[in-house]
Amino acid sequence: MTWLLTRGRVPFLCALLALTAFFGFHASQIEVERNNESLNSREAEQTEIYDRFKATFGSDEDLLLAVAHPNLLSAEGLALVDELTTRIARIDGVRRVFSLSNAQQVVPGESGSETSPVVAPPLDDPGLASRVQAALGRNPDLTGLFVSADRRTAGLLVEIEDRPSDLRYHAAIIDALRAIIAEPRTGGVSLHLTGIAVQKHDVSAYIERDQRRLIPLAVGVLGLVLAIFFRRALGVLLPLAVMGVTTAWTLGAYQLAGLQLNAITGLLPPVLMVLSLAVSVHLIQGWLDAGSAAGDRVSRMLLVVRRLAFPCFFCALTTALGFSSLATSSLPAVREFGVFAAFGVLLSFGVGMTLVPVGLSFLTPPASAPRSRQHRLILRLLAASDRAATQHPGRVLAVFLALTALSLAGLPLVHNNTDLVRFLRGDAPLHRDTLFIDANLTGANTLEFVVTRSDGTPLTSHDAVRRMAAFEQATLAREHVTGLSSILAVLRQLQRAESGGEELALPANERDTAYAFDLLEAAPEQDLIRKLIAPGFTSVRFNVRIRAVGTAIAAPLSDAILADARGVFGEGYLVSATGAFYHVAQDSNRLVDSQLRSFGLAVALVVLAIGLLFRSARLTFIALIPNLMPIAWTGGIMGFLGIDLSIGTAMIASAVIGLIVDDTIHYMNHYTHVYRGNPTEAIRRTTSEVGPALLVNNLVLALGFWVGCLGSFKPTIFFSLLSGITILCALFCDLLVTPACLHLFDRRRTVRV
Amino acid sequence: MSWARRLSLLLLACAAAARAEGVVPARLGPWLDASHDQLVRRAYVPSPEQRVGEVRILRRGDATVVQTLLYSKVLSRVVGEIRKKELANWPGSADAAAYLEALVKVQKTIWSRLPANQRVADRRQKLWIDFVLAPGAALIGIGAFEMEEKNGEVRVVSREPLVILEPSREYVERNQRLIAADSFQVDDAATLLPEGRK
Repeated sequence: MTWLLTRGRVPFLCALLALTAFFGFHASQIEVERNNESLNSREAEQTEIYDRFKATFGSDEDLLLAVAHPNLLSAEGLALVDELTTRIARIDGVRRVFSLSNAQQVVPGESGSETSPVVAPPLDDPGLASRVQAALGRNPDLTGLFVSADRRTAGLLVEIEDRPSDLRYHAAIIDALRAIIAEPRTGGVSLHLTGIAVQKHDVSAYIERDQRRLIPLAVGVLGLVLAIFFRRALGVLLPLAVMGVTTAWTLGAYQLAGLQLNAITGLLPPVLMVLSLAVSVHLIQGWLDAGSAAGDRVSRMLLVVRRLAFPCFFCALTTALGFSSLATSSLPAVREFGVFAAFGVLLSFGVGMTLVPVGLSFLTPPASAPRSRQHRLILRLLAASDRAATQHPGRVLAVFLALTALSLAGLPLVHNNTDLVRFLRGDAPLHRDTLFIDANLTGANTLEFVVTRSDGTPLTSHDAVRRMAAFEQATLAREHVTGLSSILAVLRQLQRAESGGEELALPANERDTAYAFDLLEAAPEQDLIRKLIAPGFTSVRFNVRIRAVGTAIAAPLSDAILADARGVFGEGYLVSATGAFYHVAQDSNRLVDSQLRSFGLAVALVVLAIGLLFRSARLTFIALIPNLMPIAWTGGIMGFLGIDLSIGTAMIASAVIGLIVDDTIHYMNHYTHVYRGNPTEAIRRTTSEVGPALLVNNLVLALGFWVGCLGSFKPTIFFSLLSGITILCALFCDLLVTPACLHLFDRRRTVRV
Repeated sequence: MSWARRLSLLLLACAAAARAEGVVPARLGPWLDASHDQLVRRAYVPSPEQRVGEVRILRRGDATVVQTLLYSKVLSRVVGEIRKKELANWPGSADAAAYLEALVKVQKTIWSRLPANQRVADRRQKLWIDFVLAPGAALIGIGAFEMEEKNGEVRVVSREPLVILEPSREYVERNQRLIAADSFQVDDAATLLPEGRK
């Protein structure tokens, strides 16, 4: 260390600069994930079913464009739908567009059933509206997806080509569609776009926007807080330098690991910036407080480093352990966040413990510790807290325990709910458009169910079709289900056309059923049929449209529909649920277990670390109390305020436990050093000497986390907000509960002796 | 072939012959007796890969026969296609109208014979049409048949005439040429038909 602070300073700084340039270059090359893949768990069976589904029926990520028109079935309204259908079909990457203007119905023809357009030209025919109304009346399956029940909104289903190697064409299609939507229109006409692909596109765009917005904001806020606290340039520049190096190296490593930023790891830069400050703040404060008796520059710095290295390392270790517990999560995004946040914390310790001493070694230390107005105010506050903790420890503990008990009552109110649309702010186009489509056209989410026979034979028997119809009926009776698309709709139309009747009905017997499938086999539009039933008719797809609800509703709903299906189809059939939205619902279900596991692991690791540090079961127990309390409070706040447990909020406990325990470690470490048999005196000294650094450190942490509140996603906003709140609550606990416990338990031990 | 299968085919053939007696006038019987047919040419329709039947040019004694064998699960569709072509080729023709009416009737008869509530392994509906041009006779025979397949080759094992028509000789002759030209994809079908019929 002495070498580093003397002759080694320049080589060290040069090496640091070179490495920072290298990692910084890679950090600048980091890309944003385009397909939200890391927000899905890679559960093998689920993935296999989904892959098989996509290989059989194609992607389920169609876009839905709604056209609201006050007089939709007029020549003008239908011409608009027709024009949009044609224009959108010409966009590169769009395979087909299905809409009212090209929808076909099956009608009786000279050679049996044949297809005929629902909207037959000419569009300027005066009787067009009534013809279309009649066709829609005859074909109720078209209502919902292609036209609303009130006939004022049309739906255009945009099927996108599958180009696995091209990650940008989705964005180009959505941008082109948004450009069409933005075109000026009059007479109450409006266009609205939704779909999984839009969600992915917008999430990527918001991540990029948040990076541009949050990183400079975090630097500004942290710099300001440091400037207010230290009131000198070194107090700002050195921590910011550590922050810059840590962030650049960690993000560079992230990019070198072949990873891309996602909605969760998009939080890494601001979180790393916040986490990397702790060591710098403690070192600079220690250096300022050391006084002239500490000797020359190098001796003074060595003294400070020796005193703080161990507690700072343990703080970094516990914080890293907390984050690394997220590595057990089933979601890659959470795992990546945990692992790289932990890496960044340990890195910031290394950088802070070298760069800050080297930086300070160039400066002349102040002769005496600073005495500013802020410090006097802080000291008064700290004195009040230490009085309360030492004079009324029992009451303090009782009040905090009562608050904890109250919070625990709120925990059962916390719902596990992931709602990708409502994750966005209310003014986000996707949020607005999806809710419009949900209210005016059809359910914006879809669940996919696939039925096969366990012996792999075709599903063309009359019995199979009868079971399909029973399943359809049961599903449509479910709350939140707005529609269902399956081969049954085609079979009904075929049967009506073949029989020459008016009623939509399924084939009545074995022969007619087999014949309907034979007709399907010989039909020219095989591409369309293949979206509903597999070649050879060995598996059939049920596309269930549901309201734009979160996973709290969607997960039990999909389970209930799956149970219905298994009951209706019976033993000879295999039924599986899949689809992009189903994946989200299942992942959300797994989230609680996954995060409970992470939190349990984090607590165990932290307890182990504290146990090793203090080598005392009593102190380890005391250290746990002020750290579990704020987490329980945060859970209670979530329950009482109706904040859902989601991908972001579920990370709070695991991520924050390692962070907030740092204060306890610093406090108790100092306490054990100054303890001379009188706990009141030891607590007074500890609170006054460590308290200011804890205050500023926590304020920096909370403000740093709160920068994330300006992000675009509610999970990250709540993560930031609640993490900041937890940190401040933990500070209160450390300044009141920790000393109260130390006093109480010490006194009891003394009495017993 | 098993003894049981041979016996059942024999019984079917006998039954068909017995029923045919009521449909086929005795004087036309020889022109519909396919037991000594000589195959001249054959084409699969609509293509060898996606066949729903075949068109055969046959010699049956002194008669020239253009025979269409249809074996399709969607026979109504195939009949519908024939109908379209027929109406295009013979606008307003009474012979064509009678032929189409008979064709649809036979198709429906064959369809009705499929068991309604029982799954059958081979759902193909088999229908034959003979355009026969013989010295002193021009007729159309339409009926059902049973067949065997070996290496993709179809062998008719029994025929059941269901309708016999006697349209004008010109109608039969021209239709023979049209069917042959369409099926063998040639401009002049006369080259395909046996000597003496060109």
